[in-house]
Amino acid sequence: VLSDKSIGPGKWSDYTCVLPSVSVGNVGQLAADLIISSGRLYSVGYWHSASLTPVCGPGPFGGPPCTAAELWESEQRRIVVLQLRSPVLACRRRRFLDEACNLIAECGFARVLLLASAWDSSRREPSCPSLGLAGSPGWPNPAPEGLEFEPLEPERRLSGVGLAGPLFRRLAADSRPTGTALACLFCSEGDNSGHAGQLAEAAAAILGQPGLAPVPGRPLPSSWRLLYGSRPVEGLY
Amino acid sequence: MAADSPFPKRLPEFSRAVDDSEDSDWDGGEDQGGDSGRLKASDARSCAMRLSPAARQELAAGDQRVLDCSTLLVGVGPTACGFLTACVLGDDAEILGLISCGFPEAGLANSLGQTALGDFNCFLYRLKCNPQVLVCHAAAPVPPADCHEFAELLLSVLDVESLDLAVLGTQPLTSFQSAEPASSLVGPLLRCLRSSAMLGQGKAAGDAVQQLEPPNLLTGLPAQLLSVCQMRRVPAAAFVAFVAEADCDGEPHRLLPPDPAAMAAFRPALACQPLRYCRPAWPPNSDRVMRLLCRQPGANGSSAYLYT
Repeated sequence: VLSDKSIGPGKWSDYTCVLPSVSVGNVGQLAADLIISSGRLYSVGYWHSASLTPVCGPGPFGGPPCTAAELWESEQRRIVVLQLRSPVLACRRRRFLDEACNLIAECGFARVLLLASAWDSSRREPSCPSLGLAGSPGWPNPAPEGLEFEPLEPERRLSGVGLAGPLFRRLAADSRPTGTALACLFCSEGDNSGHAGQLAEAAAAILGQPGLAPVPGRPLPSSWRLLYGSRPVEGLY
Repeated sequence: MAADSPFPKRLPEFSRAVDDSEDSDWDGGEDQGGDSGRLKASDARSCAMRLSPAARQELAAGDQRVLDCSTLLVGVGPTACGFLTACVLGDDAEILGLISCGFPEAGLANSLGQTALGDFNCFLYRLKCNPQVLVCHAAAPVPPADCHEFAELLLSVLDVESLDLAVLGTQPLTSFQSAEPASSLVGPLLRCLRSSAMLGQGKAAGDAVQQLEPPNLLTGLPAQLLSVCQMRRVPAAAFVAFVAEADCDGEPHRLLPPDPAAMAAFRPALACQPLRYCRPAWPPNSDRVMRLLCRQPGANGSSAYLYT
C-alpha cells in the first residue's frame, strides 16, 4: 500500500526503480542513501508493508520522519528509489517478494536495478572484480563501457545477498518490468561506507547518470552518524 | 564493560550481515527456517479484538462505525502502562475492549473482566472523566510480526482523520546512540518523535521534550503506530524513555513490574500535546501507584528474575 494516493497505476511507466536489499554490511541501503543525496531526490511517499520490521526515526536528510520503506523520486532523472530501512520479517519473506513484485508491476517501472552485497568469500576468484552484475533478458548488458565486473549467472546462489537473488529471478522471469539488473558488491562486514560509495558509483554508471555518483564533500545522511560507533575518548592513546 | 571505560560505545551485538535464503537453497518458495514448524505457526499468528457490548453498540449506532474518540494514548510495555495508569487513567475507567496477539479470533476466550497481569491482553479504556480520551495498555510485548495487525485493528474502530495520538514506550539505555561516551549518559532519557501532521499543526510548539536525535530509531509497536500516523497524516507523538535494561520490555511471555523511577521519566510528556489535553495528574495519586505496583507479578517478594 502506498501512502500517496496520487501514485496511481503506471505513474512511473518510463522510470527506473532502484531497490536495495538488506545484505552484507547494509551496503545496498547505504548506496541508496548516497544516490538519494547526490541525485537530490525528494520524498514522495511511503510503502506500507506488513512484511517489514517496523522502524521509525528522524528523517536522514532532515524533513519528515523516516519509516521502514520510503519512496524517493527524481522526475528529471526518471528514477525512483525504494529505500528499505529495516529487514524483512523472517516469516514473511515470500510475502515480501509477492508484495514487491506487485508494487513494481503496479507502478509500471520500465527497469529495476537491485543493489546488494555478498560475502567476499563467495567470489569465484580473489582476482575477480569486486562488483558482480547480472542482467535479465530484457536488460542483458547493464554494464557500461569500462566498468569492471564479474558476470553473475542468474541461478548462482550468493551468500549474504539477502532477498536480492530471489527477487531478481522473479522479476527477470516476469514480463514487467522490461529489464532487471542486479549489482552486487563483494565485501566483508565492517566500515562499509567506502563500499557503499563504490556501489553507488557503479549504479550511477549503469544508469548512465553520472550525477548520481557520490560527491566528495557533500554531507552524509544523518542516519550514517555513529553508524560505526562513536569516536574513541581523546587521550586514550 | 565498566561504566567509566575509556573505550568508545560498544556496537550492538547483532551482526548487520544477512546470511539469508541464498545459503539454504531457498528459491522464493515456501518460507523455511531453522524450525519450519515454529515459523509456520508464527506466520499463522494473528491479533484479535474483542469489544464490550457497549462499545459494539456505539459502533453500530454511528454512520462511520467508529468509537467516539479525539485522543488515543497508547502505553507500550509495563513502565509506560504504569505511568498512564497512575497519571491519566482514573479509578473508574471503562473497559471498551481488548486486543490479544497470538490467538485467532475463534480462540479468544478471554473475558473483558480478566485483567490479571498474567494475561497477555492489551486493554482499551475510556476515561469516564473525559470520554473523548481512550487509553490502550499494551503491557505485554507485541512481537514485530504482529505490530502491523495490532495497529490496524486498533485504528479500525477510530476516526483516524480526527484523531490525535500519543504512544509511550521504553527502549534500553544502552541502545541510545550519542557522540557522548556511554559512561556519561545518565538515564532515564526521554525523547520524542512527532509526525509531520503534528508539527504542521503547530501542536508541538513549546513542547519541553527533546526531539529524538538521529541515528536513533523507534522500534516495535511505537514505531508501527507512528509510521501509520505519518503515512495517514495523523497528528501523533511518540515518547520514548531510554531506561535501564531491566525496565524494558522483556522477552515474550515475561512481564516485568514497572519501576517507579523509570515511570517518572515520562513526566515531561504530561506538558506536551496530546497528553496535556487529557488533564493528567501529577504527582500521581500515591494509593493508585501502590495498587498498581502491588498488582504486578513479583512485586510482593517473589522476584521476576530467578537469578539476581
